[in-house]
Amino acid sequence: MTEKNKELLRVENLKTTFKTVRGTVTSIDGVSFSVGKGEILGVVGESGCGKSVTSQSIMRLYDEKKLVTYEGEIFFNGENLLEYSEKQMRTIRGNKIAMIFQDALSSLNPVFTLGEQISEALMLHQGMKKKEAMVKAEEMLRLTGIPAPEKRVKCYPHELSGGMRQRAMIAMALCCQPELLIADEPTTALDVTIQAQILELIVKLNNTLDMGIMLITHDLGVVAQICQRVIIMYLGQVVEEGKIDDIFDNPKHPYTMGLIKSIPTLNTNRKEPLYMIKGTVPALGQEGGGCRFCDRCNYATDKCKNTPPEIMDIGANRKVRCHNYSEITKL
Amino acid sequence: MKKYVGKRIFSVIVTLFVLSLFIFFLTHSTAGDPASNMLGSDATEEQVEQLREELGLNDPLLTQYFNWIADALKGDFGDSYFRKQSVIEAIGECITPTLELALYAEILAIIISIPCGIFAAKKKGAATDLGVSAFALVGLSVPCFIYGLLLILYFGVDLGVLPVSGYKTIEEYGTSEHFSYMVLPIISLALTQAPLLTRITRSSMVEVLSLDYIKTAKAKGLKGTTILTKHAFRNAFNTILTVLGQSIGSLVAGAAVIETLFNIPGMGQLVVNAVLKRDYPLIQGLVLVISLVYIVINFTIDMLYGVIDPRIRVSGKS
Ligand SMILES: Nc1ncnc2c1ncn2[C@@H]1O[C@H](COP(=O)(O)OP(=O)(O)OP(=O)(O)O)[C@@H](O)[C@H]1O
Ligand SMILES: [Mg+2]
Repeated sequence: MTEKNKELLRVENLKTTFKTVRGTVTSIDGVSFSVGKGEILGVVGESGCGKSVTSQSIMRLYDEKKLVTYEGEIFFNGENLLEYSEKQMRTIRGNKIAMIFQDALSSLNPVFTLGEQISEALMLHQGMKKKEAMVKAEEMLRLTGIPAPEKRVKCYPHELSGGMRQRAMIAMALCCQPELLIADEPTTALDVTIQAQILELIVKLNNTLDMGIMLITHDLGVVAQICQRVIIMYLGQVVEEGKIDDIFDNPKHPYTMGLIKSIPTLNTNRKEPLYMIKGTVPALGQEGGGCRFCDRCNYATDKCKNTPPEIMDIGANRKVRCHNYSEITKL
Repeated sequence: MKKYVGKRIFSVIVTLFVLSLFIFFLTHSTAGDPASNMLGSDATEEQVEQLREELGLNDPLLTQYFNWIADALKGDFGDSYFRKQSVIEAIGECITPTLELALYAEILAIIISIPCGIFAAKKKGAATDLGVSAFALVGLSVPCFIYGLLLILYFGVDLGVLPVSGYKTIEEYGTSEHFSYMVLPIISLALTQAPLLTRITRSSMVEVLSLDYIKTAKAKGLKGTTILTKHAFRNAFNTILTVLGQSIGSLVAGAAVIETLFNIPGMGQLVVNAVLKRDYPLIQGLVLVISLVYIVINFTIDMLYGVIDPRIRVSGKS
């Protein structure tokens, strides 16, 4: 248990700014959170709130010469990745931190076989010879439960089903036994049964390989099933953080409340319309001076319109970014 | 894969058949009479008529076509009206300099343009990219004889270091002599081919570099150059290859012009003379051979697609 609580990744005040033709866009603004060794952290938020940008900033995947500037700190095993050189970053990527993406078909290179693509990281980070790496690639595919892995290593991505492709992506990410796996909506493109299988696989691998996982999703249901802790993001900021049971039983932020209320369950009355949070996510750069959520919030006060709330530590490993959380929860 | 090859071969045969029809009727519909050309202006009406009869020019066109195609299938393209040799011999003599010129120039163009295109794509938007793109655009709009003339003026006339006229075979004169005569024609022709290839390489690389699997490759920890040359280029290569195939036509056309400029006894000169003199068998043979070269190259490229892109292999199978 002590091992489990040890911190693997700590992001402090991360701010990612893109240079675009229409000026600069700050996609995430002061994001902080941490992932423990062997822990599964859920990252939840509506489309466009900056989940992918957060994950790709951790691996520093954006072109830093032309596109992006990072501010803040990203501690991985105690070392600040933002101070690393590009060469040092390459020893981290795919080796210590690995990533799986939402759309496995477009994320796999169409002209190389699965074996070739999986073995690449092994040859790079573990100095394996081609042959050895191919054997290991097959082994990794077997581990992810792909049927007939000895045939699949020689397959091209388009020859597989969506579920198999995502398994292959997982095999590719895990082949060097990373300490942290970032899964960016790994099941969004899959149907429900396959989705369940992939999630089960991720949990199983988390247990056997003991790696930290950052699971990005917009599906709170998924988070409830497999995560220990969750952060809720809204418009480039973390608005609430806590243990999974606490968040579900006793959400503090109005946005979180709305999210939980809008999950349909089997008990939902079919005649009633599904709950929706009013309004839509405003565009970046048009947040106004106050709380970023205040236009959509049922409880907004004058203070909310004028002063942006800071994220507050409210004890029991919980944080919330809301001026009025204590009053709201009592209602 | 077998089925894919079969399909392609079938389409080549159909293409050749349609082409032969087209060539034949096009040639015979041009104004001018080879018989009176051959005999000169002071031949009598009867003499011309007799020669037309001998050459089979008075037969119905369809009969002439079938005679020609039947012989051609046996590998006999007839005799040239004006040169004292068969069509096959005439073409055999002239095709080597042309093929050499085209091949050398295309290789040089590839060597220049692919690295330039990749580099420009990598530096997209930066000064180097703008420079390469601007050069390519200017280069694209300059006709090949301009390069030829400028090179002749500078190296041949001003400096006097390189020969500007004629052709020397490797067998007879050796490699260095051969290339000293070829170098200016090669450069002129390569400079006309390179801009398009550079632009295509750049644009297809830019497109590929924005795709998701490039991000995957980076997330694996691969180096920038590996991502560029392995993951991106392998995918961009298909488009480049297509354009390479399509540019064969302009390559051959360019070669004909350059040959005339540098006085190289190649296909270009042969074609011009054959057309001027209404040498029907020679024109037909020449066009057929040039088209055949074109088809063979494009066929090879189609086969290469299958090798390069696994998705095409599969679609051929089904
Ligand atoms: N390369 C980029 N240049 C400029 N802006 C970007 C870039 N990438 C992302 N953004 C902006 O950052 C914001 C957050 O995008 P992000 O992809 O992280 O959202 P997300 O939470 O992952 O959404 P989804 O659930 O749809 O994947 C968006 O408003 C997007 O427009
Ligand atoms: Mg995303």
